[in-house]
Amino acid sequence: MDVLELTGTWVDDAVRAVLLWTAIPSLLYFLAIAVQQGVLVLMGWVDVRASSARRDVLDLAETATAPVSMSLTVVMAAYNESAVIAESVRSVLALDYPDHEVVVVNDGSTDDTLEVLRRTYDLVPSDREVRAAGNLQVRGAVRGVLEARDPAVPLVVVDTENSGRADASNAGLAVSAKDLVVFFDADSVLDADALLLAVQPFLDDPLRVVCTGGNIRAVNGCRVVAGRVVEEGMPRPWLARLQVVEYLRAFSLGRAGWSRLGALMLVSGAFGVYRRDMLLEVGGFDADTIGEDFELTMSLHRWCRRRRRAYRLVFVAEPTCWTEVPESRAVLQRQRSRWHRGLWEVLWKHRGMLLNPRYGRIGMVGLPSFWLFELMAPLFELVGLALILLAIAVGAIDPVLALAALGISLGIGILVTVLAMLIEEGARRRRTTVADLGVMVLCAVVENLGYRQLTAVWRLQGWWQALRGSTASWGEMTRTGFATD
Amino acid sequence: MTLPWLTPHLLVTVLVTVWALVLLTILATLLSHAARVRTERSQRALDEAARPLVARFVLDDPVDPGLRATLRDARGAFGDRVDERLLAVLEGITGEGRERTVALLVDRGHPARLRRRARSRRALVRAAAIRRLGRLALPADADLVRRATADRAPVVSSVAARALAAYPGAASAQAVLDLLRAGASVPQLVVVNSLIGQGEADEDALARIRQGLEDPEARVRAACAQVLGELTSTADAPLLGELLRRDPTAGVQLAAAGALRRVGRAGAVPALLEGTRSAWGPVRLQALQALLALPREVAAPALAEVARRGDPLLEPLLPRPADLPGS
Amino acid sequence: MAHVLAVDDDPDILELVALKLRSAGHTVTTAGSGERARDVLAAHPDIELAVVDHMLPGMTGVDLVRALRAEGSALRVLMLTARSQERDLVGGFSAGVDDYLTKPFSPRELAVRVRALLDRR
Repeated sequence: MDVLELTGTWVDDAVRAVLLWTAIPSLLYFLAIAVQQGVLVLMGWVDVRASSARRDVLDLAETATAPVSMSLTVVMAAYNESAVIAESVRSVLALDYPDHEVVVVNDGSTDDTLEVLRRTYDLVPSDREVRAAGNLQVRGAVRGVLEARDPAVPLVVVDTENSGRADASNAGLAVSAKDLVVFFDADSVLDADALLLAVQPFLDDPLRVVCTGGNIRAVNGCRVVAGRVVEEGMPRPWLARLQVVEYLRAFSLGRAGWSRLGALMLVSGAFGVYRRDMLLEVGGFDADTIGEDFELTMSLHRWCRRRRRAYRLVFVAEPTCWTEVPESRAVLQRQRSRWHRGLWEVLWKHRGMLLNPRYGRIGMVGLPSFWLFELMAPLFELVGLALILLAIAVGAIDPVLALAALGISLGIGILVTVLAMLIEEGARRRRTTVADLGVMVLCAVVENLGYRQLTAVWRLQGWWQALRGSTASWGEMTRTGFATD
Repeated sequence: MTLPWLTPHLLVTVLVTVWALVLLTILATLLSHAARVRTERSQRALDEAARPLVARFVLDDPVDPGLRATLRDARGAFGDRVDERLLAVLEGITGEGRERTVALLVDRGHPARLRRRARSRRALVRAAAIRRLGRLALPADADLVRRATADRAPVVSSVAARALAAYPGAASAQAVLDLLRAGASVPQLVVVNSLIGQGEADEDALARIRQGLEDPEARVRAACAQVLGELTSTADAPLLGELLRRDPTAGVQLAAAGALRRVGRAGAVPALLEGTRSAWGPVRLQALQALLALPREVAAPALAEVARRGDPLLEPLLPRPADLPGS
Repeated sequence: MAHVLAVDDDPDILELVALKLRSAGHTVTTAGSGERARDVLAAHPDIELAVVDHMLPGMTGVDLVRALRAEGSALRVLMLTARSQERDLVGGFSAGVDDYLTKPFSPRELAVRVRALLDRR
């Protein structure tokens, strides 16, 4: 079939050349991403099925009385959260877990967050210390450590000067005294049995499992009572609805799939459980990076593989953390731009692991996948789209062919999303209404008509900003001697 | 530019296939959802009918023979719900009401029907049957439940492991430990819970668990150590201390250190001190927590030694110098 | 012959508790969660005693008791618990629970303990 119909001017020669050079790589990229998605769908399905069967067996109401040998610290960094902090802390203290403590780090709030805590929990000075030792560094100056007067309330509050969430989390880590650590946002909502479920892999394999991650969903549109989601629902604004579908895809396929492949690349800071000894080994969060949770996950992989320690990172599909997603375009834009910038910074920082056989599956499969299908995806998407439109406009390509190609691409994108929905529907113990399912299907279609393209633009913006600023920070990185460890 | 294989036919086929798959998936999702909602709704309605009847039956004294007959003869979906409600009662109640409930379940043909279902080809049916047999805890079913631990589906073997807590004894303890040997993916919590229940109820089971400390399989040793710790028998402290010191597998050392938190004695201090030097973070943590659980005078020298070492992982747990006598 | 509240998210246990106490002559209102229990208590100030399950979704049994005591409630509380671990019992007593009953329990014993708590004036 003759693909190009040209009229023989130099414009056409130029267009022909461009299309020739980009057609094959684009096609290959397209096929590669389709294969990757296919594999993730399959693995995601396997993982969610196994997880759900396990959940049936593990009757947690009964086994909550069983010995759980690993104690847990919940670290909450709080900045100007006076409206929600008391309720949030209360709901975390009430979580179903036999031995846990809560460490709240007041990151130099300018409102009365600290006062609210002091009043609500009757705080008195504590003799616990923020000890930053070994690889762990805490930059924010510590103004004081307080604890609840009632010894039955395992609450510690660290008051520091403002130094950012990553550094505040490190301060909380430095004062923790339990076996495991969970980092938690004051405005997130956890299911009551979420911690017990998220901790199961540690119980099954305490020396190999170093980190587990749970599911994250949008809380917009859900009914929250006393710090728990009592009723699920789709949010009303379309922007939020589109994000609900995105999260579904990212977690049911992305995380579940990669976890099953043994290459879980990202455990979200919003809901990750880590072994405290491992966190101290890698020095907690890197306060200089924007994508600090991704950076932490990569550091764990790096540390364990360099020392040839058998280790596992596990995604647990059942426990859910509910978090608020942006409902305004401006906030969403900043978020996506920041995420992509963080992605770039971390990928660049750990570029030594890319295609390095020393790092096994992470280096040879996971990282190349992230570079190609996460980092460069917006570039390929937008450029590909632009080229096809250009070709049609110039009349250089058979429009029917072009439309067919677009139709296939659109179809595959939607297929992946509805498969994620099917997997979820088969596994979830919750109630989604038919109306909600309908809305989700609609979103799966609509997101390709502008939303994806828009987020691609924002991601490229973030990447560009990072590249422009990177000349300065690259210098900093060499100065701190990052490459050795 | 020509791409000979890129025929319109191919494109159309791919296009149609992809979109057909999309529609099929959406359909499948909606069907699965509808089926689930329908089952849940009907189950809820039947439960609401069965529950008050069962409650009255359990509590009435003397029993209304008409009510008993109604429950005994319940069939089909309603009968299934009656079974579930009766079994739920078994979990929550002791005394006369419980015996009455077991008698009714036997009358409803229970053990026979469940034994048949335990041979079903579908794993979930087998698992449900084993679960119910475990709750009934009829002595005649001990062998069946024990054999179910060797089932090829992890769901069934896990449920069987838990059910064996109702049949405590050396053979049952062995069956649960064998699960670990086979490397089946049974949740640790289920195994440990079952063994604790058995160890508490039966001397022979406890003896078998103690023997398990010397088993060639590391997972077995670790599970036995953990269980002995929970059964809080300080007589086991020397054995556990030896395990912490001598066992080649870190996972076993970890379990032993964890167990010593509950049953540690003065004699275990040297082993625990060594444990705080382990290359494995979790082992160091458990060992220190075991030392902290001992009377302060007994552990003080060891704690002072740990404090001297300045291990960042252990420091947040150490008591203030003022709390350490004689340091 | 008092007005009693039963709180449990397990509908089977809830039904048994309610029926047993009704047959002992009390008026029983039920609630399936801590939040619902508070609503009921606010609507019925004549409730003298509550049988509360330890493990409730959302607001736990101990949370509920603590909140009620903080409001100055003189309600008698009998807590049903599957946990017999020391830590929880101590925590419950210090929160204001009057008596405990471990599951599985005997319905007769439940009625006896309720009677005893009501008689304790």
